[in-house]
Amino acid sequence: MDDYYDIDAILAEQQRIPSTLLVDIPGLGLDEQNGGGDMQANSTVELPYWIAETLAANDFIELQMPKPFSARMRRILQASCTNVNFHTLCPYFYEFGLKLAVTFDEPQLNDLLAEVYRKRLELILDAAQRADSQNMAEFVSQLDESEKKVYILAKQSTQSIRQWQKGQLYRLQMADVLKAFRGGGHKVTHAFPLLGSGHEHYLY
Amino acid sequence: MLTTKPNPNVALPELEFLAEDTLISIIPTHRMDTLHFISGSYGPFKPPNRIEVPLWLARLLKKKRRCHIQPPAWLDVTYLQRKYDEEQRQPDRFSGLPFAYMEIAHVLLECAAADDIPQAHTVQRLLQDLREIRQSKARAGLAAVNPIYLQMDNLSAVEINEIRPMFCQAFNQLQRLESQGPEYGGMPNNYESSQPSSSYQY
Repeated sequence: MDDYYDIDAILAEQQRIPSTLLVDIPGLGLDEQNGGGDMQANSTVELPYWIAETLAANDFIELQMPKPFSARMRRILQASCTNVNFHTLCPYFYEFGLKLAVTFDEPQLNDLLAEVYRKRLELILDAAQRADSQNMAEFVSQLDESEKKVYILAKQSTQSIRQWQKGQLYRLQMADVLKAFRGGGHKVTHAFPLLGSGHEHYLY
Repeated sequence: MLTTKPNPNVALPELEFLAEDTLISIIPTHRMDTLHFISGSYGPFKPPNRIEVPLWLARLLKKKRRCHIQPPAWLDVTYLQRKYDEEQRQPDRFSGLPFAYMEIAHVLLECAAADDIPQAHTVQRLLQDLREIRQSKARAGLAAVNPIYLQMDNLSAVEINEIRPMFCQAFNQLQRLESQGPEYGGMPNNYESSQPSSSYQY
């Protein structure tokens, strides 16, 4: 279940979905063609998913499958999903796709999403382990938002291991409280004055 | 002093800290009485006799030039070379190395590379080679992720720590994508009616 405050879920709901009006809507024709007149039944408008969903449930409009999930696009994705620019296609491809799978009751869309995700995941992990971030910028800009998250996580952990091996990562320090304790001339430290840093935690 | 962590996972210095509890043999160079710590008492130290102490103590004594460290049997050129060959022979399996091998090697190479570890440079290079080959295996294993489970035997602490964040993310996402029940991708008003694992089949 989506978290109420999940910004990605909110943004995914903003994606537009082509809808056909089933009733006339007086006075809401705000686009240039009918300049402020009525919206005619059977005309098509693109509405954000969050409103379209409710309108469709109340039989005001009929939803059509948005382009990123059209039959043609699905064939392309099945053929080579790794070459598709998800940022231009739909930056919340998976989130939006999940919602559509429920709305249109198409479980096969779930399978497609999972397959596409798995195939692209390999590429993302590959890219994250490469060191040259310059060339990677273009690659990253073509990812879906959830894929970007995985990329950043993978990048961070690989980087921190590299830093740690070079000794550039921070070191654990003794807590200030314990330093004061030690300064007070505790028995154990007197017994072993050559202790320097790090494992004094063990002493107290 | 408060340290800021780069991510919410166990940090590498913390792993290193934990690995420093490993016992390691040293040969003291000075005669010393028994040392008492909360974690235990070590000593007495009598010069030619080797004695087992935790890695953190060995590191400190080494720093003060009060001991020679005996590197563990696996921190050795021939052994590591054999492990490397093993890794290459089995492209889909990890060879067995100590769970904390990266941390221990890191500490030892840092404090005792110069005199106590024979051929330290070759050891370092072999460790790096091992790390790279294992890293690419871990990546291949991750790419084969399915929404049910992932199995990679013999992965070491640092390696698990490396793949944990992205694995969790990818695994959860994949599970959401594949599940067709209303409880995942569905609408909030279906929420109460569905049990978490009802539409789920293993």
